[in-house]
Amino acid sequence: MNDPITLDDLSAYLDDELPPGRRAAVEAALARDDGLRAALDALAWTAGVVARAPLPELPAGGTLRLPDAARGARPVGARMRPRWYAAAGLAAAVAVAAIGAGVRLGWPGDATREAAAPAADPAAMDVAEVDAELDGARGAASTAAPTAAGGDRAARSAEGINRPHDGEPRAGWRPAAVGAAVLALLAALAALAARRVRTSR
Amino acid sequence: MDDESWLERARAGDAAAFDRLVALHERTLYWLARALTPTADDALDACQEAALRAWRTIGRFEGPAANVAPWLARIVRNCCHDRWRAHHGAVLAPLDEADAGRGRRLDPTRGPEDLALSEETAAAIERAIAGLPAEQRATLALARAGFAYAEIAAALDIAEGTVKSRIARARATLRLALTGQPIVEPPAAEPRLDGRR
Repeated sequence: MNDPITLDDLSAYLDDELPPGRRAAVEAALARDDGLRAALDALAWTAGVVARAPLPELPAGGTLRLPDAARGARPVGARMRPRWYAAAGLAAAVAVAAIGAGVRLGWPGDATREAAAPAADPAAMDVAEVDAELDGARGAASTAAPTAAGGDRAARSAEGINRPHDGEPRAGWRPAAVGAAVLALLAALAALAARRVRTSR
Repeated sequence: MDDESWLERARAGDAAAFDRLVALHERTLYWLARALTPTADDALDACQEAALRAWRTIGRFEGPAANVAPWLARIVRNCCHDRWRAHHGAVLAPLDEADAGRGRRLDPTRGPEDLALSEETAAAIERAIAGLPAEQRATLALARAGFAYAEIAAALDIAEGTVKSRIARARATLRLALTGQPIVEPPAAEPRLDGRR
């Protein structure tokens, strides 16, 4: 704050380009210093004279004209309009969120099946379903010989079907995921096509 | 349509939008080019080259439309420098420094508004401005066009303090050239006459 007031400060003061603190310091110095005021007057006179001087006239036809040959070329880095980025990004985000939610929480079809199943552990429910299918395949001929549960499980394991809730989503998620992905792809393609139409004009 | 929309279209490769955008700043950019080149033809050529460079790179321009004028000014300045280096192999120099103090003297006791701006007076001012160092002329041209110090700094790629200093130096030099009287400062406020900041 104690820096001496310079010619630069006085000139910037005229242009209203000083920060408030420095401006206040200049005004305080001007109030007590005749020499500083005379310097300010001289600067103001010069600025006024220069401001009144005519500036060069623009040549007829303008100055910053693009040559016709350059008009056909696209600028380097010419880019997709932000709103198309936003549209494509939003579509992709919605699709990913839908798939993610479906995988994590289960799809509507799964909920329906679960509601219809006996109130039991979901793993046990699937085992029961598979048991029923196996029993049906064995036919009515073998109904007189009840099968031991342990033996059936070993048989299922050998056939590779003993996989209730082993981390894989249930049946029904695939069509929904594929549909969402196709929708996202179509949205992105539409955004790109619209951008090409606009930028080629 | 506002400036941001024109800028967005120009970025995407719309030449008509680019024309519209540069037309807003054409006058200022020409004044800058005139301040940095010895003749009107040189200024026109520099502006033409600047338009081409700006068109080629506007796709990579970052920032709001308010920053377009300083960006274009920087391109014009670079074009002027390149042309000068190509033809003279040196940095820009005063247009005619020897004439700086020779013109008609103006009466400093009369206010600027009272000075009859005759052709002779206008020529004297023009001659005095031409005698300034090129960078001071460029800074003054942008200031006369209404650029704020921060915008001038961005356009000329210098610090704001340098802008402040150049304008003050230019005014002090013009005062001396036009009236024969230097600006006298109190000892505590001695000007830095070495031109540095």
